[in-house]
Amino acid sequence: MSDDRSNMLEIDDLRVEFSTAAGSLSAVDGVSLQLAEKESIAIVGESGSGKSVLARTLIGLLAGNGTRTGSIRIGGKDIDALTKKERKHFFGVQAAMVFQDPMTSLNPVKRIGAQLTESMKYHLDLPSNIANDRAIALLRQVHIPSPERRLRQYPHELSGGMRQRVVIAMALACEPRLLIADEPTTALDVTVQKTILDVIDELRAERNMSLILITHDLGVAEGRADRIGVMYAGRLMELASAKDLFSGMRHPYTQALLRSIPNPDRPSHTRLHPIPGRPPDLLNPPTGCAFAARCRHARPECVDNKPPLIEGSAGHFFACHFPVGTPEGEAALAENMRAGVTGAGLSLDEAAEEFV
Amino acid sequence: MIVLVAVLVAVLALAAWIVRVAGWRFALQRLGGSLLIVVLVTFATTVLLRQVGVDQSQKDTLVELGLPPSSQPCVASLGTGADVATVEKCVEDRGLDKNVFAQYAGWVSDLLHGDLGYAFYKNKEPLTTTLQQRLPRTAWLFLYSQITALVLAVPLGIWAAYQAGRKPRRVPRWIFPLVLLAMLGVAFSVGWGFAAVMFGAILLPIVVYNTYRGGPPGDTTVNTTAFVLLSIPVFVLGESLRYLFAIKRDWYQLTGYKPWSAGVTAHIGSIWLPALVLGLAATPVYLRLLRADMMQNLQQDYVAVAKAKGMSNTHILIRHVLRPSTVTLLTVAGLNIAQLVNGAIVVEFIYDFDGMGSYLIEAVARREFFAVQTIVALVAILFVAANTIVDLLYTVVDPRVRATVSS
Repeated sequence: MSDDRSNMLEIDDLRVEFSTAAGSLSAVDGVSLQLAEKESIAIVGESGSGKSVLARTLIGLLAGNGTRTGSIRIGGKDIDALTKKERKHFFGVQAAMVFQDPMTSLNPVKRIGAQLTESMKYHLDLPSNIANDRAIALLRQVHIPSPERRLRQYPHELSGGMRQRVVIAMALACEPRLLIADEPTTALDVTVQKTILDVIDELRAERNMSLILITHDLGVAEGRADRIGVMYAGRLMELASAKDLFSGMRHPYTQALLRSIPNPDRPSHTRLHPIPGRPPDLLNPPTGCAFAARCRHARPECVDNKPPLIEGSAGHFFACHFPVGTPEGEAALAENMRAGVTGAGLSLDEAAEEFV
Repeated sequence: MIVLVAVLVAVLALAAWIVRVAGWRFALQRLGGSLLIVVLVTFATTVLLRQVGVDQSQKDTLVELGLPPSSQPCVASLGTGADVATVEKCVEDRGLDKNVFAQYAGWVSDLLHGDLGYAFYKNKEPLTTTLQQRLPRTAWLFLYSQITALVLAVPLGIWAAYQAGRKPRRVPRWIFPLVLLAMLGVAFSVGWGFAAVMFGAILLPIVVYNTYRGGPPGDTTVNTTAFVLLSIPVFVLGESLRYLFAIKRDWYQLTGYKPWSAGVTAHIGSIWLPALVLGLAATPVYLRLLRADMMQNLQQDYVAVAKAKGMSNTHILIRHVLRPSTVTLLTVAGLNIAQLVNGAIVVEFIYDFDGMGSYLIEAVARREFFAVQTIVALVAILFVAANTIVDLLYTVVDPRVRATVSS
């Protein structure tokens, strides 16, 4: 990966830990990532993989019991080195975020107009009438009909899809160069999902923004992002361009995720392929690869040593000792199949899958 | 006359506002319900009045004078020394010789004609005069105490709620010399004893507790102090402050109430201490309610959204979270309106403040049941009116309530 192009976002060895009553919980465990200008990346992972914590940490929303190490540079600026004055108008201007649930993302007692214009007034020091005009223009850009009337309305008078458009418009109010969308369509109807994603795509192209799209749905990530990162237990497992990832995935977890998507083209009563077991307990993380206990490729080595994230081919990173589609990986799988059990003790008996 | 016009204008304005905000149906429902409550309460007082009992000597007087048992309330008010003609006039005047409905109708008719009866039956002092004299005093006392309570509770409640969400930490060291300095200040201005009690009983445990617990000290300090204040009975607070400020020091003169016409300084000077006592009594309640609601609302997603937008903490607390957090506070403040007539009894007694509270005690002690009946009716009307206003304020605080009432 070339570093000479100016990077919109640079994350270096980011770690986030939460101190809980049950002990220290490691939510993000050494994530490094670069995002170029105008580039979009999708972070995919299941619940508890740390993708939302990662997003919130990037925008400076770490909960009170969380601690962060590692550096974050947004637009070339280290967010820890910001002066007080710079910090005041940094988040919301340089980077903005769209949240998961539009039903709770808007303040129920404030009019749409007030919520849309407040950041423009605060950060850009715009007078009310100009901020209002800009708010109307923004609502038009996210395809909300009769925007003048909406400004006077309260959130409860709008549908979920409309509210998410408002939330997107709100995030874009101060023209950020980096947009972080944390599962922007998870709480919405399937029919509305596509239109919301289209709006984000369209605005990204118009405004030359960089985008981080957090999702648990590989289907959403496909075709919406230049690169895709797969997260598991707070670590990046695989990071590649969307094309490479779908055509030549290396990590068994990515493969398992794809296999678990039901395909309507297959005949009915075809067996689905769930990922056996559960994500690891982050209060007590395994010493080796976090996915080893659920992995079909797992060998004893996987349980003992954590594989580093290495660049297998140009721009294709993965953290696996026995990657899919390599001789070592195939050998490991064949060995496990022969034994009927993986190196981490997972039974590979198909019939047993139903009971895990 | 002017008062009547003002009241009428206020009522009409309120009605117009209700109709505008909530629509005709809700307004009529609400006003009809309020009217029904007022009628039921006042009718109940009429019924109760007829049940007034008398002691043995008064019973003897009744038998002696050959009066029917229905004249008992009159005998109670007029005392054993009254003659038959006076008692009979009172019985007729108050409608005790008629059935309860006719009596109630007569009372309502009198009320609507502006005749509230006598404050003290024996000397024929009209109740309207007494109210004119005493109600403003208690009204000012109530107003100042509520302002004091809100001025203390709202900023402290907001601050405590904000502090509660911050990382646990120990008390910074510079607090300790400040506490010592404050203690010396109090000691020299009020007295060593008071300073020792105040700092020994309230602040020292908090500081020690915070030092070893390592929680958010701002929140714990405010919250614990509020809790201590909450558990001090109002008469203890009233007596201690009277001793400190009116007896040990002459910062407050116990010379009685002075109206605005006597000058601002004289007016405030004659009322600030009882108002402070009532205010301090209401502060911890308001503070804890606001803090709890604020803490809950600070957990909402829209707060995270506002933070991600880069809005300042002050902006988020005041412009986003404060308004939806005032619902419980409003409810309790609405219920406190009863203090306007009866709540200040203890404080008015301690400070020789001739307001409604002390009048009510006197009226009950002297068995002026006719006056008590009218006062109770007044309380009911005020209470219902205040809480109707509070109900409507909910719609201002939270527009979602508006959607449910108007549909």
